[in-house]
Amino acid sequence: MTGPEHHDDPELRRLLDSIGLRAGDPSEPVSNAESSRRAEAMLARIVEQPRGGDRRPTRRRAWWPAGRRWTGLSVAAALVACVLVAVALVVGVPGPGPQPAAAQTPPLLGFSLAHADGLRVAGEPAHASLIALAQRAAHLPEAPRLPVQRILAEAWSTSTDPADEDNGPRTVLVPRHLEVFQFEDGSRRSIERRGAALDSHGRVTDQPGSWDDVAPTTDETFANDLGAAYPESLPTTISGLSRRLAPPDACGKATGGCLLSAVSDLFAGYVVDPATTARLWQLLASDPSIKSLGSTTDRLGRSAEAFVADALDPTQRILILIDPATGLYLGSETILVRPNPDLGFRPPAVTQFTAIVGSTRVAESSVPDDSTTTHY
Amino acid sequence: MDAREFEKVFWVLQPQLLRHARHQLDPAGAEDVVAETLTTLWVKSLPLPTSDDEERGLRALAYQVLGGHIRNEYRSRRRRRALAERVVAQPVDGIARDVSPDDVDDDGAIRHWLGQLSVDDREVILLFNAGFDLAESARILGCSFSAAAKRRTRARERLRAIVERERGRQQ
Repeated sequence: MTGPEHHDDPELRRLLDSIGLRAGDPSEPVSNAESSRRAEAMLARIVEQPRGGDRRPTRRRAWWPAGRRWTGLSVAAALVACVLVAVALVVGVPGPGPQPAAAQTPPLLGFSLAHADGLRVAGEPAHASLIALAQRAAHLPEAPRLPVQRILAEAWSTSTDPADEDNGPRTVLVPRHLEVFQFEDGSRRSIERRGAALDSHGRVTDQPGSWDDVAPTTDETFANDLGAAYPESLPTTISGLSRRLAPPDACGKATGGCLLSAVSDLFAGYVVDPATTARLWQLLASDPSIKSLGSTTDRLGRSAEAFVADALDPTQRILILIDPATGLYLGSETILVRPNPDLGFRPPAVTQFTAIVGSTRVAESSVPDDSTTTHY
Repeated sequence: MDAREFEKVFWVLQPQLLRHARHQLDPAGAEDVVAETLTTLWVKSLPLPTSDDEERGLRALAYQVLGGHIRNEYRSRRRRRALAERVVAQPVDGIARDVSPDDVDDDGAIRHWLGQLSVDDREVILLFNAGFDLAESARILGCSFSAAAKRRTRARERLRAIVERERGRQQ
């Protein structure tokens, strides 16, 4: 087995060295005689476990605290944690205390080729539609060559609250208004305004009339390692593009979901030029796991074609929406299609959506005063 | 993997996973989650890796499973803590937070710094420290490559801010 090899962030490496956290070294002896004995005992207990049948607990040794309770695997929590974080309403956290609220999720969109009850497996071959959209996207007008990329989006997200060991992760649902500025020097400023917290029954209580009336919840400027021209730097061949956006060792069998997720991230952070957009739709057309859900109307009332694939989290599917007339990217949604103990929603349910309101290039003078932004 | 093959994998992965878990949990808790993680791999009857790619894939899977168990452990502790607070009707203190990194041993100092980060930030930094590149981290975290990149950048800057603030205060 190989060990750590990649350290592609020397700045982070230096920072960790400075606090005494040195790079993991698999050859480093971590154990003394006592811990070796424990490891041997651990191994013995593990290989005693029957495979494919009921398995006994691996604990209950005198040197382990008794009474620990274990739940099943929760890998899906990692996916949820990748969504931008916000704290509004705790949902679906079982245990003592007040009963968890079942937060109300946005209504499902209607699709011409699928019914809500069948979203778990729904979808028709998408190749022809995506190729047609690629051709249209190639003729989209170029954004003016101004220095700052500006993306405006409306979103609702479920998220896992960053928490410490005492508080643990919490799943939340909040409406958000996002304004992203990608600067030429690679730095990125993200201004987020959040809607009112949902009430204890998950209902929206006080939606703002205009987002302009709402003070930014967060205003952060940080280094974007990928740089301002990341979309243009992507490989020009479909196979190269696929390997970059959905590395086989990172995506496993969920290449379609990986690709849709990567596309969604790209358009949420960059003004993607028409040629790259067209190439992205060709790439999606090449993946048979990406299916068409047909036509729909998005959250902003725009006509859209919907394409879907299984997400990395097997309980969810991710879909993107594209303008059928122009090939323009419109937004993405994530739909819970199977029960997930980490979320307090009953499938099918929309657990996240992002609708792109605007994507263009602006002059530096159009960027809001940065005196209030927090620089990281 | 038969038992003999699993044993080889165990002795490679167990120390790495334990070190990773100890930065996030107390020693007993770390051993618990590592045992559960390796049991999961054993029960899954996975094939023995035969190439570097497969080895890295298995290692990434192990960290992915471990991440899930650690989150479950946090959740479980939160429930227990809430129950304890209901019983005694007053807040139950968690780990001590007002400890200077100079007052504790090396492991304690690292936990002091990392303990001020969110679970998400801590996880992405520890995956980096364990040697995972961005593509592998993305798979383990269940997010896209670019999301993992953004997440790591933010975590790095948050940690830097914490370290600079605290060291500035001590000077």
